Amino acid sequence: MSGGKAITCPACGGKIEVRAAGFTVNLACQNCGSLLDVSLPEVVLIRRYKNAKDRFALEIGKRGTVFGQEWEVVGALRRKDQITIWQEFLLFNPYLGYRWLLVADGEWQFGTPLADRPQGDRNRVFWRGENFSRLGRDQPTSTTAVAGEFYWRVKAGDTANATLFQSGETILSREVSDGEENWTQLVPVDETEIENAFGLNRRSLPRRKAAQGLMQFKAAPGMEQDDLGRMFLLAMAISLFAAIAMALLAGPSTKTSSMIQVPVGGQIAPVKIGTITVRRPWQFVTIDADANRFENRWVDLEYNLVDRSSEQSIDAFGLVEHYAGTSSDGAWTEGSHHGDTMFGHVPRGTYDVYVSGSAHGWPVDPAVTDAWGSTETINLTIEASTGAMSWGMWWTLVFALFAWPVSILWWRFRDK
Amino acid sequence: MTRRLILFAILCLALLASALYAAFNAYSFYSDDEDRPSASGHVGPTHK
Repeated sequence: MSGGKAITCPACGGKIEVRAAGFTVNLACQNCGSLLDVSLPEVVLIRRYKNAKDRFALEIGKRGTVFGQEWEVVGALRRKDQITIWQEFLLFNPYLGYRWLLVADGEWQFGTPLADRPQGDRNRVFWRGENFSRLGRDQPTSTTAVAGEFYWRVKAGDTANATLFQSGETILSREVSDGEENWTQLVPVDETEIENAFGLNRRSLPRRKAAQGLMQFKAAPGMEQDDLGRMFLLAMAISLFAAIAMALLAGPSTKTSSMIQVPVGGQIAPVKIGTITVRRPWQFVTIDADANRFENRWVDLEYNLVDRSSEQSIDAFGLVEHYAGTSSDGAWTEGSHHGDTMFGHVPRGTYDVYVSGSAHGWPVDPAVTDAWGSTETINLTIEASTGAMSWGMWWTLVFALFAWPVSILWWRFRDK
Repeated sequence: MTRRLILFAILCLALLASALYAAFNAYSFYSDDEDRPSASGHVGPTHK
């Protein structure tokens, strides 16, 4: 390939090599990033910048062989639409002209500008004996960064409207900007081939797939059918359906309740608060403890579900605690006068519900009896019931359902 | 319908089936059987 010519940047005074001299109209100085017009004998400054801060996956000036032809990277663009950020590299060969390399979501495509325009309507076009169907919606795109040289005037902030048509792995891209229409044929090219040809600055890739294989994060700038909305709708529908189904599977409900008194600094022996019946093969049993108002006390509770037929006991524990005080930040409180305990996987049967417990003061237990000879007690209403669903499991399901679409959403917008 | 959406739908159905199986058998990651409360009262308030 022939060498270029050197010019001096009027903004920073740095030397710049024009690689496609005679073809290049626009050039971004690799030293300061200023945009220059090099179509005239005298270099004209279009816009001054202080730093060429944008980094790209391919270095301008690199030469390599793609599809059996040698190309030089002469320009680079960073572009975006509503859902994707990608990079485009202008390749130049003095005998073959210009080509494109595009990278988005870790996938590369080789672009050839079309001189013969496809024929058709907005949904289907015909080109060189092949039918292409429209892929997704029209996407407004914008250029966010420019580096290197171009055969047309380009700058950050340029916009275009892109439409894609697909047949097999080949995509035709139609871009309309300022009344000018450009068509490009895009074919996939393996990243290894690009890396072997030009070397790859992986840290500057616009984004990569989160995972290969199952996580089919679709490729290419706006070339996907945008299914993210459907994913969110599906996740919402499944979440709602699961809430209803889990509530139905949790029933039927039986409940019993009773009040107990626990002396502060003392304990009570097991008290039977009632009987509940598990009518399904397995059910959750929940026990709620509601206490009267107290401060700086805690109550340890032990619950026993005793199966009437087998006399086997299923045990669980509960805690009600509430503290209050003042510090340099002011008054504070901590804890709750309410405590929930859930038994899982309780088999069908009739159960007597027993509760025992002890109450204590913080930081130390108060005197067992006060000056009037009475003992401080904490009153608790204990309610045991069947038929509750596990909201924790439902929220876990919701988290798992939304993890994928939310990850895709984050991935798309993480660079913006 | 994209391949990715089909895979996601399959994942959703697998998660839903797992959740319903757990609900039918009253399994929960969050049940308190045999668990002593981790914030047992003798620790007192965490406010300093």
